[in-house]
Amino acid sequence: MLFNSVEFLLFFPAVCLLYFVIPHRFRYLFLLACSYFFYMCWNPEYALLLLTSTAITYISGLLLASADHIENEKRHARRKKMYVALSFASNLLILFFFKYYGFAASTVAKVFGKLGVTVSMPVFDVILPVGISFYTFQALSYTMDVYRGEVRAERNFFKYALFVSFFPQLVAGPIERSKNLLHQINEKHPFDADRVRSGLMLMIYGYFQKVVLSEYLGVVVDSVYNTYTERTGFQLVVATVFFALQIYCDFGSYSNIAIGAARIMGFRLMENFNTPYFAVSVADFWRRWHISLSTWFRDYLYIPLGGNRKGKFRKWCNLMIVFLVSGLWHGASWHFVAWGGINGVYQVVGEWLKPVREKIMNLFHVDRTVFSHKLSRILTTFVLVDISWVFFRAGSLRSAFDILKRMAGIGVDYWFTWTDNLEAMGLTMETRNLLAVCLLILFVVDLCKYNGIRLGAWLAKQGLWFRWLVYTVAIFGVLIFGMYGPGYDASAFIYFQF
Amino acid sequence: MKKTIRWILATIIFLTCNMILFAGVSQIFRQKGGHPADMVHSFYSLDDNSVDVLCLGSSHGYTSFQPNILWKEFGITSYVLCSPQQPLAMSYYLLKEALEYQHPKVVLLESYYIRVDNKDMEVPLRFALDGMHLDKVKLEVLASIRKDMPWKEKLSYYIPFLKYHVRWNSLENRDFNPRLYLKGSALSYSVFPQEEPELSDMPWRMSKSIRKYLKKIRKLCDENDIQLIIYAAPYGIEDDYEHYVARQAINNTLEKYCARNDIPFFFYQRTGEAGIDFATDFADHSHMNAYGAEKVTMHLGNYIAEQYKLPDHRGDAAYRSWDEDYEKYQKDVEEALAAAQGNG
Repeated sequence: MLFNSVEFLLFFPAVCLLYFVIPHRFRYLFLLACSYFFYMCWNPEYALLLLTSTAITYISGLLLASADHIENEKRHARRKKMYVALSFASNLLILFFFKYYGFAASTVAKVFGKLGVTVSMPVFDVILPVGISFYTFQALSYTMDVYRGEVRAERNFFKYALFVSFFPQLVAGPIERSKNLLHQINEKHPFDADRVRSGLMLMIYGYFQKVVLSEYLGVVVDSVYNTYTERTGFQLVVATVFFALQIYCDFGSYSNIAIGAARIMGFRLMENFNTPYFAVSVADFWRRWHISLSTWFRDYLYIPLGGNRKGKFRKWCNLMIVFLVSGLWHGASWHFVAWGGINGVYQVVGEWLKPVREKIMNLFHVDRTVFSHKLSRILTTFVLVDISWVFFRAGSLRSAFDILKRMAGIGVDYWFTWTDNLEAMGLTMETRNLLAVCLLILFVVDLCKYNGIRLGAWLAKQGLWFRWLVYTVAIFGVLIFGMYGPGYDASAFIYFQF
Repeated sequence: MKKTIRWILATIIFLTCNMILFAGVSQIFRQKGGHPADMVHSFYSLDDNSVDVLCLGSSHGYTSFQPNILWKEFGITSYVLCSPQQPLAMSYYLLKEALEYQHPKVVLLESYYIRVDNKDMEVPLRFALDGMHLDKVKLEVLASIRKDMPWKEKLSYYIPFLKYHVRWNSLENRDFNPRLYLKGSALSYSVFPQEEPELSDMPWRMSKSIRKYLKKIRKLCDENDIQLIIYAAPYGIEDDYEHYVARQAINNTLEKYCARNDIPFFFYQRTGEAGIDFATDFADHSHMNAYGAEKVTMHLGNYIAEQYKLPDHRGDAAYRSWDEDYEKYQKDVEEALAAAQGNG
């Protein structure tokens, strides 16, 4: 059940209506049932996997809590570490089997093949369970949080199961932490008109990002990338910039719809995107992009590895490990690993060259307080990030390098005429105008957010006629200009495959 | 409590306003039938029980019958409830729908598409259904003739906007200004001269489904005291003669079928009784222009007026709008004639 499907548009209002009617003490059971129904709409059998992950981490929480009674400190620590290791190992094993086994098997076969040894690995025909990377990480964060004593172990299995399977963020995040979400299940959430309105507005904005912006950008990106060998350098550059915007809108939309839907029911989910393309450095970008995953890696991988506490070299190694793993998290393929690696390299090289940059800037008396300096940093960051997106979008490492070469104008025509270029990308005048207006809206909304202006709160203060006008324009804007309906195959959210 | 009630009230008002707006926007975006009259939808703008003659069928229907001429010459009110490639099953359901609002005394059925059982095809189905109000007849149509259709696809028939919102970049003037006064008919003065093809006596075996719906139409007419008339508007060779003969074969079969069932049948091309001239009366290979439509309408008008003694509403104050519509039609005719001459 995708967020942009008729099913969800029927499912969600029905869930909300019932949610507010049902007495508080039964609500978590109701939401749990809805969440499993939501998940089983994709593939009923895989609900068992979800249940397994839930059970393992639930038990790990109880065991960790019981270990607290052990008085011998050494034994206590050892026991706790063992429980954490068991929980991580079993969960990651499931994830490995369903997501990485094929990739690992083919890599092993290839490596041995190069050495002249034929290895036949058993083949399993499995479909990647939707959202497995998301809920596995969410469940593991609970084990770790209990281990660290940041949350108390949850005794009620159904409440805990709801934390892992909460349908708004189940399949594509934000990846929640137990310390943020778990206690909210016990809270009372009475109907609050202002909160509902604000949640709805966020959902509509999410739909705008998805069915209008992301889809229209996606048509251009797909057509250019699928036939990149016939494209000019200019077209590839435009398509790559479009992809940066598409993936932001696509993934951002899912988070916004998830956060909005949860807000309507009274749940506060963490922010996942904070104006990422206004970042002034790659490190800054990663503090603003997919925040729930970046902080997951920070809290549960980077810091346990030693973080930045063990000297520069170790810090750089840790950074590289985190980003390579993050690449792999996004997909079982080398081009994702490369994408992660590049983002790691950017940061390591950036820090390494920092003294040189400082010297150059001092030499030329660069004023670091002016707008132009900041703009140059934002643009540089965007270009760097966008280059890495080529590896993300291209189907393989080879095609990524090929595309980069063509983008640089090596071995291809860089330019047809202006109109030829636009036509070849399928950008008719109407599409161009629509995209221009929509991108302007995206820019203004992000600019407001960047400057701390809360548009939702501002709108809520306006007169009734104005609010209604904005709602109506927003709803009809999405209904008319969105890409959906028969003949149009609702494309999955890009992040679903991870 | 007071606040909650106020909020609920405001929500209801907001949703109602948006629903009304949605209905309006849906009509603008809906794909319109072959010409500016937008027949099925504008049917609902007629006063209840104001129409005495109803014409059903495909594009051959709406290009061969002109309600404004029937009004001017005979004072008989009529409406063309045709749609492009109208399946016979849809003619039946459109008649059923029409009977919810009107009590016609005569139903004209143009024969061209009786040959083809195309009720499973999306385009003709949509042209006939999209303009229809969402009511029990519309629900019945899909439930009975497209049982196999997935519910999501059905939804786009009930809410055509789901399909047509993509038209935002191809809207035309006629989407905003349907010409209701044409009463479902077309108006073209372009002339496509062609040779009159020979007819053959080859019969056509009607499928079971076609027989079923013909029977249903007859039954519905009988139950409502309606005289059914079937007619075949003439047409020329579209691709090759072989296909042409095959297409015309249905009329040979219908001739016998109608004789057997006591239904008046006018095979204009065979009898020549409307005086159709292939050199002047066609807009393209298979569709008549306004000259041809005038001749067929005059013939049918004479027949209906004589046989069934329908009331002449001219001069009746309740039907003044028909005179006003005729004036608008007249203006259109002048413009169309000027345009046709300009092109010629």
